[in-house]
Amino acid sequence: MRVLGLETSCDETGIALYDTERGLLSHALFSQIDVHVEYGGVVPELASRDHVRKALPLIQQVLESAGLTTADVDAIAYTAGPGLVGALMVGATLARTLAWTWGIPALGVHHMEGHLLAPMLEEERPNFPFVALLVSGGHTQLVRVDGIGRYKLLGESLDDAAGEAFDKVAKMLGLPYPGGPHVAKLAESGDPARFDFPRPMTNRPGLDFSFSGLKTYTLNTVHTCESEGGLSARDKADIARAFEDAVVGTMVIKCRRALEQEGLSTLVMAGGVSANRNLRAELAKALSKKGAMVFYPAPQFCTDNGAMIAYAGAQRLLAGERDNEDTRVRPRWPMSELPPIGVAAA
Amino acid sequence: MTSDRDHSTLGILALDTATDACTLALRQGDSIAAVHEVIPRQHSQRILPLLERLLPGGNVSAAGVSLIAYGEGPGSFTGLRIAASAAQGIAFAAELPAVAVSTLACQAATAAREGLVDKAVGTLVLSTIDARIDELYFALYRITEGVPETVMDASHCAPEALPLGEMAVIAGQDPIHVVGSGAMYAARFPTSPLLRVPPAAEALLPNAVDMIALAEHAHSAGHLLKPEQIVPRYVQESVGWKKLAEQGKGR
Repeated sequence: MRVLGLETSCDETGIALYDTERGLLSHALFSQIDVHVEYGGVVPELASRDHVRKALPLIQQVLESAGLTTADVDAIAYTAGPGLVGALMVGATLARTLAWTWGIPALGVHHMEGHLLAPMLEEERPNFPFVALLVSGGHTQLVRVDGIGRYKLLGESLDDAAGEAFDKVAKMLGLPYPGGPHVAKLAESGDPARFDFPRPMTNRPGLDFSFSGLKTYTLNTVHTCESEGGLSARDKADIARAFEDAVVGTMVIKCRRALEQEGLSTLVMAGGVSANRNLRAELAKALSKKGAMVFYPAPQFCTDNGAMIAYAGAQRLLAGERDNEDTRVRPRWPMSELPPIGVAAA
Repeated sequence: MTSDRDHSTLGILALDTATDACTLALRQGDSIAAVHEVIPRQHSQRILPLLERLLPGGNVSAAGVSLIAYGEGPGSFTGLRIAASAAQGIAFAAELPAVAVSTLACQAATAAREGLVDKAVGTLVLSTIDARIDELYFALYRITEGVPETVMDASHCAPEALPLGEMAVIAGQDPIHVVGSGAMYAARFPTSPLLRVPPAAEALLPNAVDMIALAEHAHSAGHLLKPEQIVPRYVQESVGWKKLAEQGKGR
């Protein structure tokens, strides 16, 4: 089955073609960073305006680069939520009218399930069951995964998502949107020994996260530097490093704890923050000591993309799932409401 | 009237979701079928069931459709994108050309067909839509044989700033009939002896049935769009967000 995937939940238009027998055939992405950078963050209306211009040309592009025609598409998967409502509607309407006219099935996919399954696009794939760390601008969750749609939430952020905290610290340090990668870049040149930031909620049991205290601690450190003669480039790099080390340290502790609690030895990491090299290295180091394995998507499939939506949709479409006539987008959609694979088709 | 008969063979699927109406029409041969529902904020969810009612199974080409007409706006930003995305999907999948039809022009034609304004040749219609930011979208048309011709192109302004004087200069001293949801602001329009607000003017919504003739005109004029050229016409470019420099924290 060849599935066309459309991702338009936020500020990236991602389109891909996935073949359940041959794997990923082609993919294309248009990032709107240039559209939003002068606003310091994503402007939902501008995001929607861009999706409506970019989605169809990208579909033409992926078909062409796969050497396929429209007749070769067997089904369409699109992101139905969670995300920005106006942006979701663009992808959903385009996907569903294409499918309707072609007379093929369409299926709305959960964006985070797409992220969660993105490591399955790699040659070395994890086996179920595993623990997944989902870290992005909107989510920080630890989930036990026993199969597609069989998810148990183990812990999540009680306030800011990790990616959100990165973006806010970027603003404190005067770095442009999107802040996360800029903080990570700056942290590389920072002195890890100068500041020691607290690792939030690690001395308490449980698998929840909280980043607002760390954010405040970071801001206070920025203010202290400012009052002691100004925030120098050195200060910024050292603060970025201390902040990133604290986030990474927290994640490592929680991931180790989650694996121990569940008696599992496979960790899957996905979402935009999972592209963070420091996080990857530290997790691999800490877990290899325990004999556990870490899997993550290729960097290009850590952030939003169409391939993960095509893949996740393909699994459920193969099981016979498809949209009802009046399926709607779901800007808020807890992953716990997803049915196990195949159940929704019954 | 050979040309008219030729046109009547052009199968057209028309849709507009710029206002509270989710309105669709299908012209096959000499007959026009329509689905018109007033369903605020449900267009995204309902457009497919309504399309299915009009054209079961999505057999667009088999039904003789050879042109997709979409309401380009102005109106609800989200609504414009639903119509544009749906038109893109259908036109691309069925490999058909598309034409953009102004939602305000369609509404002016609806006003004439429904008898809200005199269908007499030369009647001036000021077609308006509430822009919901204490502003309205408007365009001025002259009705000719039931079909609106643009006198002043679509724009937006505060009710008090409606350029009635300018319209009088362009259009002569004929009465100007205001229709559409923007008529709710009529009491705030500049005073003009030419202004007429028909009863129930503000309840009027565009009906896709009236897009057919406009789509034919656009088709005859060669204003054909490829699927990827189908985009909304927002008219209002400002999106109410401030850039960093304007937020006072530009870096």
